[in-house]
Amino acid sequence: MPRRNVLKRFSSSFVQPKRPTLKSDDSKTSFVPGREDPKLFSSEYIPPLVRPEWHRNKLKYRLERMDCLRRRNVVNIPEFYPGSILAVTVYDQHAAGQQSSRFVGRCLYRDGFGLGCKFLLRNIVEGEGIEIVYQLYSPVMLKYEVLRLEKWLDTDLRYLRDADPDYCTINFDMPAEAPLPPTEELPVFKGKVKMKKFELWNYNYHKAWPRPYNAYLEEYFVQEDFMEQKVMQEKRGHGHLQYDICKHYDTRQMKEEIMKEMKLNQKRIEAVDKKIS
Amino acid sequence: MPRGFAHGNVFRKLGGHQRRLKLLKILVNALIKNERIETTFTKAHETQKYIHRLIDIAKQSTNDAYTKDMVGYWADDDSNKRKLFSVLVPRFAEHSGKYTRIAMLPTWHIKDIDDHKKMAVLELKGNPLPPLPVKEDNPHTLQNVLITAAKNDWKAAKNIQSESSN
Repeated sequence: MPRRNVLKRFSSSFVQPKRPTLKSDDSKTSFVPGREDPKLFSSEYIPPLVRPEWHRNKLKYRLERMDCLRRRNVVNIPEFYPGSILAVTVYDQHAAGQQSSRFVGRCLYRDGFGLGCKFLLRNIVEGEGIEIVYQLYSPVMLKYEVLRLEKWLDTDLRYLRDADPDYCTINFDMPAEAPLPPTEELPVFKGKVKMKKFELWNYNYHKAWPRPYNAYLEEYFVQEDFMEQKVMQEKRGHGHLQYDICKHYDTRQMKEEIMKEMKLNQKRIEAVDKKIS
Repeated sequence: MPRGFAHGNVFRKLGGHQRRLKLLKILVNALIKNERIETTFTKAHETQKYIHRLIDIAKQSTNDAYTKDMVGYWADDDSNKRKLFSVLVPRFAEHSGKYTRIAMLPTWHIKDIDDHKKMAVLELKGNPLPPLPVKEDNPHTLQNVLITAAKNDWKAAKNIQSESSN
Protein backbone atom coordinates (compact mmCIF):
# COMPACT_ATOMS: atom_id res chain seq x y z
CA MET A 1 0.00 0.00 0.00
CA PRO A 2 2.26 2.84 -1.15
CA ARG A 3 1.16 6.29 -0.22
CA ARG A 4 2.13 9.25 -2.35
CA ASN A 5 3.10 12.60 -0.98
CA VAL A 6 -0.07 14.65 -1.16
CA LEU A 7 1.67 17.89 -0.42
CA LYS A 8 4.08 18.82 -3.14
CA ARG A 9 6.43 21.69 -3.16
CA PHE A 10 5.53 24.05 -6.00
CA SER A 11 8.33 26.54 -5.63
CA SER A 12 10.66 26.03 -8.51
CA SER A 13 13.75 27.35 -6.79
CA PHE A 14 13.66 24.83 -4.00
CA VAL A 15 15.21 21.50 -4.82
CA GLN A 16 14.65 18.84 -2.23
CA PRO A 17 18.00 17.54 -1.10
CA LYS A 18 18.52 13.90 -1.77
CA ARG A 19 18.67 11.76 1.31
CA PRO A 20 21.97 9.91 1.40
CA THR A 21 21.58 6.14 1.22
CA LEU A 22 22.43 4.79 4.60
CA LYS A 23 24.65 1.79 4.63
CA SER A 24 26.11 -0.09 7.51
CA ASP A 25 29.60 -1.45 7.06
CA ASP A 26 29.47 -5.18 7.42
CA SER A 27 32.91 -5.47 8.89
CA LYS A 28 33.28 -9.10 9.78
CA THR A 29 35.84 -8.47 12.44
CA SER A 30 33.87 -6.90 15.22
CA PHE A 31 30.43 -7.87 16.40
CA VAL A 32 29.22 -7.34 19.93
CA PRO A 33 28.46 -10.70 21.57
CA GLY A 34 24.80 -9.73 22.04
CA ARG A 35 24.17 -9.18 18.32
CA GLU A 36 25.97 -11.55 16.03
CA ASP A 37 26.37 -11.47 12.29
CA PRO A 38 22.88 -12.49 11.09
CA LYS A 39 24.39 -14.82 8.54
CA LEU A 40 26.19 -16.75 11.26
CA PHE A 41 23.57 -16.70 13.95
CA SER A 42 19.93 -15.83 13.83
CA SER A 43 17.02 -16.90 15.97
CA GLU A 44 15.55 -19.20 13.32
CA TYR A 45 18.68 -21.38 13.25
CA ILE A 46 17.80 -22.83 16.64
CA PRO A 47 16.17 -26.22 16.06
CA PRO A 48 12.59 -26.69 17.26
CA LEU A 49 11.78 -28.45 20.49
CA VAL A 50 10.72 -31.97 19.51
CA ARG A 51 10.03 -34.73 21.99
CA PRO A 52 11.00 -37.51 22.41
CA GLU A 53 14.55 -36.57 21.58
CA TRP A 54 15.12 -39.34 19.06
CA HIS A 55 12.44 -37.84 16.85
CA ARG A 56 14.75 -34.91 16.07
CA ASN A 57 16.11 -35.05 12.56
CA LYS A 58 19.46 -33.35 12.97
CA LEU A 59 20.50 -33.86 9.34
CA LYS A 60 17.38 -32.06 8.18
CA TYR A 61 18.12 -29.15 10.51
CA ARG A 62 21.68 -28.83 9.17
CA LEU A 63 20.59 -28.94 5.54
CA GLU A 64 17.87 -26.39 6.17
CA ARG A 65 20.32 -24.01 7.85
CA MET A 66 22.56 -24.33 4.78
CA ASP A 67 19.61 -23.39 2.53
CA CYS A 68 18.93 -20.38 4.74
CA LEU A 69 22.49 -19.22 4.22
CA ARG A 70 22.18 -19.66 0.45
CA ARG A 71 19.12 -17.43 0.46
CA ARG A 72 20.85 -14.89 2.68
CA ASN A 73 23.68 -14.66 0.17
CA VAL A 74 21.14 -13.56 -2.47
CA VAL A 75 18.95 -11.20 -0.45
CA ASN A 76 20.26 -8.97 2.28
CA ILE A 77 18.26 -9.89 5.38
CA PRO A 78 19.30 -7.49 8.14
CA GLU A 79 19.10 -8.27 11.81
CA PHE A 80 15.83 -7.32 13.42
CA TYR A 81 13.92 -8.29 16.49
CA PRO A 82 10.31 -8.26 17.62
CA GLY A 83 9.59 -4.60 18.25
CA SER A 84 11.64 -3.08 15.45
CA ILE A 85 10.00 -1.24 12.57
CA LEU A 86 10.44 -2.75 9.12
CA ALA A 87 9.63 -1.89 5.53
CA VAL A 88 9.19 -4.90 3.28
CA THR A 89 8.98 -4.91 -0.52
CA VAL A 90 7.18 -7.88 -2.01
CA TYR A 91 6.74 -9.03 -5.57
CA ASP A 92 3.09 -8.55 -6.43
CA GLN A 93 1.75 -9.47 -9.84
CA HIS A 94 -1.29 -7.26 -9.63
CA ALA A 95 0.36 -4.18 -8.15
CA ALA A 96 0.38 -1.07 -10.28
CA GLY A 97 3.65 0.07 -11.77
CA GLN A 98 6.67 -1.97 -10.87
CA GLN A 99 4.84 -5.13 -9.80
CA SER A 100 5.89 -4.73 -6.22
CA SER A 101 4.16 -3.51 -3.10
CA ARG A 102 5.68 -2.07 0.03
CA PHE A 103 4.40 -2.46 3.54
CA VAL A 104 5.62 -0.81 6.70
CA GLY A 105 4.91 -2.06 10.18
CA ARG A 106 6.14 -3.05 13.55
CA CYS A 107 7.33 -6.63 13.91
CA LEU A 108 5.28 -8.38 16.59
CA TYR A 109 6.90 -11.80 16.60
CA ARG A 110 9.33 -14.06 14.78
CA ASP A 111 8.52 -17.70 14.66
CA GLY A 112 9.43 -20.95 12.97
CA PHE A 113 12.59 -22.82 12.14
CA GLY A 114 14.78 -22.45 9.08
CA LEU A 115 13.09 -21.84 5.76
CA GLY A 116 9.70 -21.84 7.49
CA CYS A 117 10.58 -18.73 9.49
CA LYS A 118 7.84 -16.12 9.48
CA PHE A 119 7.24 -12.77 11.07
CA LEU A 120 4.25 -10.55 11.62
CA LEU A 121 4.08 -6.88 10.70
CA ARG A 122 1.37 -4.69 12.15
CA ASN A 123 0.37 -1.21 11.19
CA ILE A 124 -2.71 0.93 11.66
CA VAL A 125 -3.76 2.61 8.43
CA GLU A 126 -6.52 5.18 8.68
CA GLY A 127 -7.77 3.73 11.92
CA GLU A 128 -7.83 0.15 10.65
CA GLY A 129 -5.37 -2.32 12.09
CA ILE A 130 -3.59 -4.36 9.45
CA GLU A 131 -1.41 -7.38 10.10
CA ILE A 132 0.51 -9.35 7.49
CA VAL A 133 2.52 -12.50 8.07
CA TYR A 134 5.55 -12.77 5.81
CA GLN A 135 7.76 -15.77 5.22
CA LEU A 136 11.31 -14.61 5.82
CA TYR A 137 12.95 -16.82 3.19
CA SER A 138 10.18 -16.67 0.63
CA PRO A 139 11.37 -15.96 -2.95
CA VAL A 140 8.66 -13.29 -3.15
CA MET A 141 10.49 -11.03 -0.73
CA LEU A 142 12.51 -8.48 -2.67
CA LYS A 143 13.87 -6.07 -0.11
CA TYR A 144 14.10 -5.60 3.62
CA GLU A 145 14.65 -2.21 5.25
CA VAL A 146 15.00 -1.72 8.96
CA LEU A 147 13.58 1.72 9.64
CA ARG A 148 14.17 1.58 13.36
CA LEU A 149 16.07 -1.16 15.15
CA GLU A 150 14.52 -1.94 18.49
CA LYS A 151 14.69 -4.83 20.86
CA TRP A 152 12.12 -5.34 23.56
CA LEU A 153 12.31 -7.56 26.59
CA ASP A 154 9.36 -9.60 25.31
CA THR A 155 9.65 -11.74 22.21
CA ASP A 156 5.93 -11.94 21.53
CA LEU A 157 4.35 -8.49 21.32
CA ARG A 158 0.89 -9.50 20.18
CA TYR A 159 -0.52 -7.66 23.17
CA LEU A 160 0.03 -4.49 21.16
CA ARG A 161 -3.29 -5.31 19.46
CA ASP A 162 -4.98 -4.43 22.73
CA ALA A 163 -2.64 -1.58 23.58
CA ASP A 164 -2.72 2.09 22.80
CA PRO A 165 -2.85 2.39 18.96
CA ASP A 166 0.01 4.90 18.92
CA TYR A 167 2.59 2.14 19.16
CA CYS A 168 1.59 0.58 15.84
CA THR A 169 0.65 3.65 13.80
CA ILE A 170 3.60 4.13 11.50
CA ASN A 171 3.82 6.50 8.60
CA PHE A 172 4.60 4.82 5.28
CA ASP A 173 7.00 7.62 4.40
CA MET A 174 8.98 7.19 7.57
CA PRO A 175 12.68 7.69 6.83
CA ALA A 176 15.13 5.07 7.97
CA GLU A 177 17.13 5.92 11.03
CA ALA A 178 20.88 5.65 10.96
CA PRO A 179 21.80 2.00 11.51
CA LEU A 180 23.58 1.18 14.72
CA PRO A 181 27.06 -0.13 14.00
CA PRO A 182 27.52 -3.78 14.98
CA THR A 183 30.29 -2.82 17.36
CA GLU A 184 27.82 -1.10 19.66
CA GLU A 185 25.44 -2.81 22.02
CA LEU A 186 21.75 -2.53 21.28
CA PRO A 187 19.82 -1.05 24.22
CA VAL A 188 16.83 -3.17 25.21
CA PHE A 189 13.52 -1.38 25.58
CA LYS A 190 12.43 -1.79 29.18
CA GLY A 191 9.58 0.72 29.28
CA LYS A 192 5.91 -0.09 29.74
CA VAL A 193 3.19 0.12 27.14
CA LYS A 194 -0.22 1.53 28.00
CA MET A 195 -2.93 -1.05 27.48
CA LYS A 196 -6.60 -0.60 26.66
CA LYS A 197 -9.27 -1.28 29.24
CA PHE A 198 -9.16 -4.76 30.71
CA GLU A 199 -12.66 -5.59 29.44
CA LEU A 200 -11.66 -4.95 25.83
CA TRP A 201 -8.81 -7.46 25.74
CA ASN A 202 -9.08 -10.44 23.45
CA TYR A 203 -6.78 -12.54 25.58
CA ASN A 204 -5.95 -12.88 29.27
CA TYR A 205 -2.44 -11.50 29.12
CA HIS A 206 -2.07 -11.52 32.87
CA LYS A 207 -2.46 -15.29 32.94
CA ALA A 208 0.03 -16.08 30.19
CA TRP A 209 3.48 -17.39 30.79
CA PRO A 210 5.95 -15.83 30.30
CA ARG A 211 3.98 -12.81 31.46
CA PRO A 212 4.52 -9.80 29.19
CA TYR A 213 7.00 -7.45 30.77
CA ASN A 214 6.59 -4.43 28.52
CA ALA A 215 2.80 -4.32 28.94
CA TYR A 216 1.65 -2.12 31.79
CA LEU A 217 -0.69 -4.66 33.39
CA GLU A 218 -0.24 -3.21 36.87
CA GLU A 219 -2.71 -0.51 35.93
CA TYR A 220 -5.60 -2.97 36.17
CA PHE A 221 -4.31 -5.60 38.55
CA VAL A 222 -3.04 -5.41 42.07
CA GLN A 223 0.24 -7.12 42.83
CA GLU A 224 -1.65 -9.82 44.73
CA ASP A 225 -3.34 -10.96 41.53
CA PHE A 226 0.05 -11.94 40.22
CA MET A 227 0.94 -14.18 43.14
CA GLU A 228 2.32 -17.36 41.65
CA GLN A 229 0.20 -19.66 43.73
CA LYS A 230 -2.98 -17.94 42.72
CA VAL A 231 -2.15 -18.06 39.03
CA MET A 232 -1.12 -21.68 39.34
CA GLN A 233 -4.38 -22.61 40.98
CA GLU A 234 -6.44 -21.18 38.21
CA LYS A 235 -7.25 -23.74 35.60
CA ARG A 236 -6.60 -21.73 32.48
CA GLY A 237 -3.43 -20.01 33.63
CA HIS A 238 0.00 -21.12 32.53
CA GLY A 239 1.67 -20.23 35.79
CA HIS A 240 2.83 -23.77 36.45
CA LEU A 241 5.15 -23.57 33.46
CA GLN A 242 7.39 -21.19 35.35
CA TYR A 243 8.81 -23.96 37.51
CA ASP A 244 8.26 -26.96 35.25
CA ILE A 245 11.96 -27.21 34.41
CA CYS A 246 11.65 -30.19 32.09
CA LYS A 247 9.31 -28.26 29.81
CA HIS A 248 11.75 -25.37 29.38
CA TYR A 249 13.94 -25.23 26.31
CA ASP A 250 17.49 -24.25 27.10
CA THR A 251 19.22 -22.92 23.99
CA ARG A 252 22.16 -21.13 25.59
CA GLN A 253 24.72 -23.75 24.67
CA MET A 254 23.59 -24.16 21.05
CA LYS A 255 24.77 -20.73 19.95
CA GLU A 256 28.46 -21.49 19.65
CA GLU A 257 27.92 -24.79 17.87
CA ILE A 258 25.60 -23.19 15.34
CA MET A 259 28.02 -20.33 14.67
CA LYS A 260 30.84 -22.78 14.10
CA GLU A 261 28.70 -24.79 11.74
CA MET A 262 27.56 -21.76 9.78
CA LYS A 263 31.13 -20.55 9.30
CA LEU A 264 31.96 -23.93 7.78
CA ASN A 265 28.82 -23.75 5.64
CA GLN A 266 29.82 -20.37 4.30
CA LYS A 267 33.19 -21.78 3.21
CA ARG A 268 31.53 -24.76 1.56
CA ILE A 269 29.15 -22.60 -0.41
CA GLU A 270 31.99 -20.36 -1.59
CA ALA A 271 34.01 -23.38 -2.70
CA VAL A 272 31.08 -24.77 -4.68
CA ASP A 273 30.42 -21.40 -6.31
CA LYS A 274 34.06 -21.16 -7.39
CA LYS A 275 33.90 -24.58 -9.00
CA ILE A 276 30.79 -23.70 -10.98
CA SER A 277 32.13 -20.37 -12.20
CA MET B 1 6.60 -45.08 29.39
CA PRO B 2 3.72 -42.62 29.60
CA ARG B 3 0.86 -43.04 27.18
CA GLY B 4 1.53 -41.52 23.80
CA PHE B 5 5.25 -41.15 24.50
CA ALA B 6 6.18 -41.56 20.85
CA HIS B 7 3.64 -38.90 19.86
CA GLY B 8 5.07 -36.11 21.92
CA ASN B 9 3.26 -36.64 25.23
CA VAL B 10 6.39 -37.19 27.22
CA PHE B 11 5.10 -36.27 30.65
CA ARG B 12 2.64 -38.07 32.88
CA LYS B 13 -0.29 -36.12 34.21
CA LEU B 14 -0.29 -37.30 37.83
CA GLY B 15 -3.50 -35.49 38.70
CA GLY B 16 -3.05 -32.01 37.23
CA HIS B 17 -0.26 -29.49 36.90
CA GLN B 18 -0.29 -28.19 40.42
CA ARG B 19 -0.54 -31.57 42.12
CA ARG B 20 2.06 -32.98 39.81
CA LEU B 21 4.62 -30.34 40.69
CA LYS B 22 3.84 -30.70 44.38
CA LEU B 23 4.38 -34.45 44.28
CA LEU B 24 7.54 -34.25 42.19
CA LYS B 25 8.97 -31.62 44.49
CA ILE B 26 8.54 -33.91 47.49
CA LEU B 27 10.14 -36.82 45.66
CA VAL B 28 13.06 -34.76 44.37
CA ASN B 29 13.77 -33.43 47.84
CA ALA B 30 13.57 -36.89 49.32
CA LEU B 31 15.96 -38.21 46.70
CA ILE B 32 18.53 -35.51 47.34
CA LYS B 33 18.29 -36.07 51.07
CA ASN B 34 18.33 -39.87 51.17
CA GLU B 35 20.04 -40.67 47.83
CA ARG B 36 17.76 -43.68 47.41
CA ILE B 37 13.96 -43.83 47.49
CA GLU B 38 11.32 -46.46 46.92
CA THR B 39 8.19 -45.50 44.99
CA THR B 40 6.03 -46.75 42.17
CA PHE B 41 7.72 -47.01 38.82
CA THR B 42 5.69 -44.20 37.27
CA LYS B 43 6.66 -41.70 39.94
CA ALA B 44 10.28 -42.81 39.92
CA HIS B 45 10.48 -42.47 36.15
CA GLU B 46 8.97 -39.00 36.29
CA THR B 47 11.24 -37.75 39.09
CA GLN B 48 14.25 -39.08 37.22
CA LYS B 49 13.77 -36.47 34.47
CA TYR B 50 13.41 -33.65 36.97
CA ILE B 51 16.44 -34.55 39.07
CA HIS B 52 18.54 -34.81 35.91
CA ARG B 53 17.44 -31.40 34.74
CA LEU B 54 17.92 -29.90 38.21
CA ILE B 55 21.50 -31.17 38.44
CA ASP B 56 22.14 -29.92 34.90
CA ILE B 57 20.94 -26.46 35.91
CA ALA B 58 23.02 -26.51 39.08
CA LYS B 59 26.09 -27.56 37.10
CA GLN B 60 25.90 -24.60 34.73
CA SER B 61 26.43 -21.73 37.17
CA THR B 62 25.53 -20.63 40.68
CA ASN B 63 25.10 -16.89 40.13
CA ASP B 64 22.50 -16.99 37.41
CA ALA B 65 19.03 -15.64 38.30
CA TYR B 66 17.35 -18.56 36.53
CA THR B 67 19.30 -21.16 38.48
CA LYS B 68 18.60 -19.34 41.72
CA ASP B 69 14.87 -19.34 41.06
CA MET B 70 14.65 -22.94 39.96
CA VAL B 71 16.91 -24.38 42.64
CA GLY B 72 15.08 -22.27 45.20
CA TYR B 73 11.80 -23.84 44.15
CA TRP B 74 12.87 -27.45 43.67
CA ALA B 75 15.44 -27.94 46.43
CA ASP B 76 13.15 -26.48 49.03
CA ASP B 77 15.11 -27.40 52.12
CA ASP B 78 18.16 -25.29 52.88
CA SER B 79 20.34 -28.31 53.61
CA ASN B 80 19.23 -29.90 50.33
CA LYS B 81 20.25 -26.77 48.47
CA ARG B 82 23.68 -26.85 50.05
CA LYS B 83 24.03 -30.56 49.34
CA LEU B 84 23.10 -30.06 45.70
CA PHE B 85 25.86 -27.53 45.11
CA SER B 86 28.56 -28.87 47.41
CA VAL B 87 28.11 -32.64 47.02
CA LEU B 88 26.18 -33.54 43.88
CA VAL B 89 27.62 -31.01 41.46
CA PRO B 90 31.28 -32.01 42.06
CA ARG B 91 30.27 -35.67 42.07
CA PHE B 92 28.66 -35.44 38.62
CA ALA B 93 31.11 -32.92 37.17
CA GLU B 94 32.38 -35.34 34.55
CA HIS B 95 29.14 -37.23 33.98
CA SER B 96 26.83 -36.28 31.17
CA GLY B 97 23.12 -36.89 31.40
CA LYS B 98 22.28 -39.92 33.45
CA TYR B 99 22.84 -39.30 37.13
CA THR B 100 20.35 -41.80 38.50
CA ARG B 101 19.43 -45.46 38.23
CA ILE B 102 16.08 -47.25 38.50
CA ALA B 103 15.83 -50.84 39.72
CA MET B 104 12.54 -52.72 39.70
CA LEU B 105 11.36 -54.42 42.86
CA PRO B 106 9.75 -57.89 42.86
CA THR B 107 5.96 -57.79 42.90
CA TRP B 108 5.09 -61.50 43.02
CA HIS B 109 3.55 -61.06 46.46
CA ILE B 110 1.03 -58.47 45.21
CA LYS B 111 -2.06 -60.08 43.72
CA ASP B 112 -3.57 -57.49 41.38
CA ILE B 113 -0.57 -56.08 39.68
CA ASP B 114 -1.07 -53.06 37.49
CA ASP B 115 1.28 -50.76 35.70
CA HIS B 116 1.12 -48.05 38.29
CA LYS B 117 1.58 -50.50 41.12
CA LYS B 118 4.95 -51.74 39.96
CA MET B 119 7.40 -50.73 42.60
CA ALA B 120 10.87 -49.46 41.88
CA VAL B 121 13.94 -48.04 43.59
CA LEU B 122 15.38 -44.77 42.40
CA GLU B 123 18.90 -43.91 43.47
CA LEU B 124 21.62 -41.41 42.70
CA LYS B 125 24.77 -42.89 41.21
CA GLY B 126 27.85 -42.93 43.37
CA ASN B 127 25.90 -42.96 46.63
CA PRO B 128 27.57 -44.16 49.86
CA LEU B 129 24.80 -46.69 50.62
CA PRO B 130 25.45 -50.45 50.30
CA PRO B 131 24.87 -51.51 46.69
CA LEU B 132 21.58 -52.99 45.53
CA PRO B 133 21.56 -56.72 44.78
CA VAL B 134 20.95 -56.05 41.11
CA LYS B 135 21.65 -58.98 38.82
CA GLU B 136 24.43 -57.99 36.46
CA ASP B 137 25.27 -59.53 33.11
CA ASN B 138 27.87 -62.25 33.14
CA PRO B 139 30.93 -60.66 31.47
CA HIS B 140 32.47 -64.00 30.58
CA THR B 141 29.91 -65.22 28.07
CA LEU B 142 31.11 -65.29 24.48
CA GLN B 143 28.70 -62.60 23.27
CA ASN B 144 29.56 -60.16 26.07
CA VAL B 145 33.30 -60.67 25.55
CA LEU B 146 32.94 -59.90 21.86
CA ILE B 147 30.76 -56.86 22.52
CA THR B 148 33.22 -55.35 25.04
CA ALA B 149 36.11 -55.94 22.64
CA ALA B 150 34.23 -54.22 19.82
CA LYS B 151 33.34 -51.32 22.13
CA ASN B 152 36.97 -50.82 23.12
CA ASP B 153 38.08 -50.88 19.50
CA TRP B 154 35.48 -48.28 18.58
CA LYS B 155 36.48 -46.02 21.46
CA ALA B 156 40.19 -46.32 20.58
CA ALA B 157 39.51 -45.37 16.96
CA LYS B 158 37.50 -42.36 18.14
CA ASN B 159 40.29 -41.25 20.48
CA ILE B 160 42.84 -41.40 17.68
CA GLN B 161 40.55 -39.31 15.45
CA SER B 162 40.02 -36.64 18.09
CA GLU B 163 43.75 -36.42 18.83
CA SER B 164 44.65 -36.09 15.17
CA SER B 165 42.03 -33.39 14.63
CA ASN B 166 43.38 -31.41 17.59
